[in-house]
Amino acid sequence: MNEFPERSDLMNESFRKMSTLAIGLGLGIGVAISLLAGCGDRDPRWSANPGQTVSLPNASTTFGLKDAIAILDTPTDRVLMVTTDRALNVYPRSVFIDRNVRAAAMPPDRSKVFLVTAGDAGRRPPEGKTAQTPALLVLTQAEAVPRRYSLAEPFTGLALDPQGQWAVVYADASSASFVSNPNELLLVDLSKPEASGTNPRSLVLRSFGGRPQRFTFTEPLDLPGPGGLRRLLVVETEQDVAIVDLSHPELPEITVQLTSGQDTRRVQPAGVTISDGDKGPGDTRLAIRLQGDTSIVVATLVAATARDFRPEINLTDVGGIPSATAFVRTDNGSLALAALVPARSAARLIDPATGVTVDVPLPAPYQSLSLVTPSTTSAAATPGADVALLWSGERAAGGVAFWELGHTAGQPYRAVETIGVAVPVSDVLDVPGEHPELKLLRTVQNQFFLLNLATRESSPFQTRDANVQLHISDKGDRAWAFSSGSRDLSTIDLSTQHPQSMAVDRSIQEIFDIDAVESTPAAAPGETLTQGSKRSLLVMSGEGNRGLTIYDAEAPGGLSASGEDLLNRRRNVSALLLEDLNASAP
Amino acid sequence: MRPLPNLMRSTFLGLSFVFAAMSTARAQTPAPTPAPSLPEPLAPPAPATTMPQEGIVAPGATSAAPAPQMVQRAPVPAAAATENRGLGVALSLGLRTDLIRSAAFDPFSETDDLQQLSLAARYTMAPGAAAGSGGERVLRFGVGFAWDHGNATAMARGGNSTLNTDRMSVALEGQLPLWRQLALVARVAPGLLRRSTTLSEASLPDAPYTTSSMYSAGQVAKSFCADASLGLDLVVGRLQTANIGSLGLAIAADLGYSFAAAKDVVLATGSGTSPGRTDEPIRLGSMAIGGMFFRFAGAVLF
Repeated sequence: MNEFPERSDLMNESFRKMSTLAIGLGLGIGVAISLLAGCGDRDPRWSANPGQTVSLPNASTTFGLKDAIAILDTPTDRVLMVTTDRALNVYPRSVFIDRNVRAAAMPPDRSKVFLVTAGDAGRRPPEGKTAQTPALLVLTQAEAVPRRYSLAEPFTGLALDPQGQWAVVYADASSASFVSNPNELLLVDLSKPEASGTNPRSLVLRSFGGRPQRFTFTEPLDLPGPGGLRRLLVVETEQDVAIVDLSHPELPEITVQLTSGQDTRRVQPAGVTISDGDKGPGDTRLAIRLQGDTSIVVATLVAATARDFRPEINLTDVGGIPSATAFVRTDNGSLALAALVPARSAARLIDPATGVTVDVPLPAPYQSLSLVTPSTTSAAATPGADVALLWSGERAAGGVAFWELGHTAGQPYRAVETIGVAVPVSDVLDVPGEHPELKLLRTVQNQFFLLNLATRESSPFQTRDANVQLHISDKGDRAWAFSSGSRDLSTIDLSTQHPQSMAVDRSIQEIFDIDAVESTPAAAPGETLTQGSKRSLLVMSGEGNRGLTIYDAEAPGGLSASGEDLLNRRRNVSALLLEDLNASAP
Repeated sequence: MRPLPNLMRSTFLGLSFVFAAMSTARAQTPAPTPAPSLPEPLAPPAPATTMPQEGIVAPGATSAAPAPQMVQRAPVPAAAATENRGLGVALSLGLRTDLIRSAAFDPFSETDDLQQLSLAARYTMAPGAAAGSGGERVLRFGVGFAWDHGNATAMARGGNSTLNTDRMSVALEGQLPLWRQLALVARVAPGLLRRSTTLSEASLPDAPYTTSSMYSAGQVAKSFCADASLGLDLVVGRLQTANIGSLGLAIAADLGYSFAAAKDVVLATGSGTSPGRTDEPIRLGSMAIGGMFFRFAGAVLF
């Protein structure tokens, strides 16, 4: 018997040890690799494709505030607030918002952006995130964190008060809730902070089968009752009109029923015009046009016993279906309700107190009217009387006319003066700031007009295609014309009427005119100038992660003394939605 | 999700190396052949109980040619792991994974790891004459050159992004034999890192005087870097022939930390400009290709 191990035994033993060592080393390697490789994924926002931005009905995803543009970036649950300075630099900043944006809107004064968010709506929040409830968010350029009003339900409708005090959140037709009451309104007083039960206040309109279609916030009105001027919210449904006293939202609303109980025909309001009348209470009136009906309902808010006021209803037939109505001042400053009746190529003036009507024949079946400030029109206008601009958007009956209401009585025909715009006008744009006497008339053809109310001149501008969009500067000194999806951009000096093409380096989606911030190092980005501030023109490209080109919005045309083309001095910023993406929510 | 495939690939490759080496050793050990008469020039004197050298030496095993009558169990000195070292030159090929926490790395990778191919050559200097005799552990020093090439691609919010890195470094290392063929290796490697980044982005403007978009912006940046790591080298087999001398196979794994200067990722189109026009580059923040790393390599020893 051999007492020593054989050589092959020694080798096998060594091999076993070696194998054990190798397996141990291999497993160690695997563990080390798994520790390294499993140490973390990237921020999921980098995987969020901007093409997944939620599409909101009747709302853009980019808002041109007065001093910034706000880009809604829902895949990353943020709004990118972009400001500029005088040196054409951009300062993007993330403002974090709640998940699941359902509605977005900006008031006419362009001071804020309002978002309705559903939050998680009872679903499990994303990993590592806290649960969010439905809310109304208010964003401004200056605030890093949006103001928040919690909502009871994730509604999808949003209506804003032009004066910025009120917002109404409601369930519109696109509501995704399993069951929702479209007549339930959440009334938010934006001048006050959130208060449980009272702000937002739930308000359920009495309904006779209709649901809200349009909301109108009135100016302060001199209504019967104590408390001075007060404002109303007029809600048009499919068959009636509800009036909510915003000074006393706890009181039940007043409903003006338009549909008779003895009639199966549903009468739908087509528009409301409001006048506070003369000085003193008791003559505030609502004129309600009816869809497909020749009558106009005039509701006068008079003093009542049970509450401060009640509507007193009058029905006036205008002889045809009215396309537009407006309260106007005629001779001696007396109030009248003007109604355009295109089927009769006429207008009818109604005395709201007596119901007496006066027909005014018109040279064309005008469909729309807007009142223009008398001071901006020719000196021949009667003091105290309004001047209305009439136009039609129909191809068969184009044209624009001035209707001087001060001359109406006794001289109805001569009171209307046509101007040389023979094409259908689709839109009339007011020029703010320096030139209130100017209007820009968009047409459905490849031209637009600059109308001077003072001189009654209408200057045509020819365009290469018919889909030109117009944007007027806040200062009122110039307008920009562009065609969405193209690289065509022109500036028009409204004083000299000189158009000049601008150099653009990518396709245009939208353009914005905003205040530029101070570019001195001492001033923080976000600080806006007030008087005489420089302005920036921002041309946005919707491709990829959004591009932005910044121009000086007040640069003169032509070459400067140094030979520089200031108008076309520009800075191209690309991949805007990748900016500030790694910022953490506060 | 990329981590799982990466992990599987790396683990699979790692284990493949191990088992391939084992298989090689297993296949060759049953057939010991007489050793070619090529002496080990740099090997220290063998202890009294060790056998004469043979052609193929299984890990940890000692055999004799001609075979002795009796073999005694004898302790194998730790220094034996590196005794049979040939020229002291090693060429290695491996994989390296860096854990990169820079936020600016996010556009280029869906995970925080950067996979790199690692190619290195090193020379291990012989120990002093006095050291190594008697079987004590002997610290050896080596110097080498390494090239790590890394690549990461991802979609950055809809745009294709690519990151390529090339790290050239000089490695200085110390080896301490632990047990038989296993040695602990400490390594520092200062070097130069070249980083190339590209992003395809549809919002980039047209090239000057054209109406065609450039669609792509990029940057090449260079920075100094340095690695410090600790690892294990395992010699899994060695072949000694008259023609090629000593030829061995080893696997190595090390874990360390990589330092690299942070550089801003500023992607530009580089297409020139026209009067009045300024194209802002795409700025993605500061990126440092550094952090913890793990490297696994297979090496051929000469």
